[in-house]
Amino acid sequence: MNRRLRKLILWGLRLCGLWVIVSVFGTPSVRVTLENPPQTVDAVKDHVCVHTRLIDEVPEWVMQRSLQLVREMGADTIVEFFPWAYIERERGQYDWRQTDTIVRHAENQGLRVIARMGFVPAWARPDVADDFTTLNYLPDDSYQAFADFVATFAERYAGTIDHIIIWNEPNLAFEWGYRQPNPQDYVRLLEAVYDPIREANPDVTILAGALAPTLEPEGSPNGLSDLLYLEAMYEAGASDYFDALAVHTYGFTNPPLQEPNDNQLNFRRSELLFEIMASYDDAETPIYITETGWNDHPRWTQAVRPSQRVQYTIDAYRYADTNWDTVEEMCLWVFRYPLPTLSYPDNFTLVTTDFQISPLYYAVQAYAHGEEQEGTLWLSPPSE
Amino acid sequence: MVIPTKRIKRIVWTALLLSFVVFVFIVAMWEWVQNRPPILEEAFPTGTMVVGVDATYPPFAVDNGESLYGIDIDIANELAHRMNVDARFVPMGFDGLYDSLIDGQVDVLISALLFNSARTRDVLYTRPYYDNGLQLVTNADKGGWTVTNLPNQSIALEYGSIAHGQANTWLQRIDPFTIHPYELPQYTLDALRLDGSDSALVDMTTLLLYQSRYPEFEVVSTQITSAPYVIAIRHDREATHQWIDAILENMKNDGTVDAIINQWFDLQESTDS
Repeated sequence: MNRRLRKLILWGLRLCGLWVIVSVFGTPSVRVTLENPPQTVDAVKDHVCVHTRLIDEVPEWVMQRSLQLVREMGADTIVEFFPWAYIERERGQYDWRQTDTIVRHAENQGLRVIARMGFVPAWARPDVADDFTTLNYLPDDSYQAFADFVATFAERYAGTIDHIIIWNEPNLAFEWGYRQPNPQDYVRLLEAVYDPIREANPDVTILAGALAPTLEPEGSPNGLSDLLYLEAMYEAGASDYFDALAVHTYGFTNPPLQEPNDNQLNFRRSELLFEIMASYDDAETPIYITETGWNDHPRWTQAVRPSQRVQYTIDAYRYADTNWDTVEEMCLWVFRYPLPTLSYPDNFTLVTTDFQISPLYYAVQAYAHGEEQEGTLWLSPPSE
Repeated sequence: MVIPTKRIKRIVWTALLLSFVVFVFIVAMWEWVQNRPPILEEAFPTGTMVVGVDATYPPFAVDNGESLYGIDIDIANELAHRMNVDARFVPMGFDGLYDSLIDGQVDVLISALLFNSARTRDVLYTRPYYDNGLQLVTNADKGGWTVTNLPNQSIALEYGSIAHGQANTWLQRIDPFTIHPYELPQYTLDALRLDGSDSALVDMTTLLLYQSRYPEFEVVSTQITSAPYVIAIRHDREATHQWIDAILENMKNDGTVDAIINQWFDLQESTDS
């Protein structure tokens, strides 16, 4: 045998040996199989929903476990973020692996997915050297590229994802790429995406808004009041370019039944948005509350006690069920984080990163399944 | 002229030796420059320590509209005093603390902050000055309890709190015990004091505040978890970090930190007695 050939074979054998060793002793990957038969949600309340954070989740089994817990809680819908910058890193080159996995597991658990779109890839933003921009910066000349991407997304997941939110909280400077929020620009974005998405999936519901509840006045560098922004959107003709309105409404330190007020951030502030819709003959347009809830961090000034958080959340669901006819879903922010923030945002979660289940989870589960809580959740204060 | 080989060798060896000595000297000087203790001007070039603080968290920092007071304020003032710099406080919301540090608006954060490993790329932390971990509390006559004492007993805790989560975890591992959830943390210690519960699980601050209200209520506590409060400094302010950490160490060693904490929890009298 040729000496060179023998050497080549020897090296081949060594590499095979190395591969065997790495396979045996390397980090084992957890094999994840879909549940068979596919699951369904058996809750009696059909508007319980949670905002998940699965896009940054690496192990597939964690994603599956999260969605199993969502189903077991009785939520029939999730809102999930699908960042353009993650999927189309290079123009025209799509990486659907993570989104496919999320969609596959959500479908397997019988969950409807509402997709939130945003985050601009570097190639669609101004050159960083010229002008530093964040992932939330969408220049005018990239509206069409964004529309093309969302249409491609809508077409790929038609029949599975039929609800798409265009952008997140555009009334905040941070979410608008640190520019002055501009409702007219946002309406132009809606106009740019509306027809392409509808052509890609005729059954899609296009959601606008998801405005941040804020009291920022006109001209503020931080943002613009959600009420002023929505009104300006209608003035700019937005109603032709969305099928439903996404709403964010947080209770902060206030109980859920507190009356709404222009100068107050509370749960029922959303009713002021509904009034604006009605004043533009848009009262019948469906509402999706895609973020809501209370926080029970012991220090954050906008937080309540854990007991209040549970009571307020369940009272809020009951109130919405009774009083808000056009509200299709009410999604709690947030089900679980892939990593803990070790700060107050962790106290919005229903399940910790290491899968410790909060009392709120059980309370929502009982509500979703129509179970009345037996007795009170906590004891009366001890008396002297 | 012919130079003998032996001499050439000696010259070469001497040159080599000298080069080596010079090299070692340069390396040593470089090491010394790198590792010498920083001078105060490097730590606080303006002579002022600007402190970011969330003044909504008694007894650590509170703003009464006219001035700031509390444990964190006293610790900051003592640090500044020992370093011979001025302390200037910038009150802000809890969620703005780290941004202000990273932006350079403040030099340090002294604001009952927990060590956060996720932030160690941006932030240097000092040694802890306080631990707000969970305490398993019992009446003094029962002696110190651990989790093994819990089966068939009752434990009072705040509904939905970290203590509740901890107790639920124990329930999966040991024989059953009864959880008495209360709406507010102070009710858990009321339950213990009024014999409504065999034990209570609360954080250290809740326990100390309660003891200051009921100094005659004698309890024993066992630390269950650790929640260290630390001072945060921006990662590129190594000199500032070294100074503050060293002074804090002195303050801990000479009992100043404990004295400040005890004063604010009003424990001095009971400690002395």
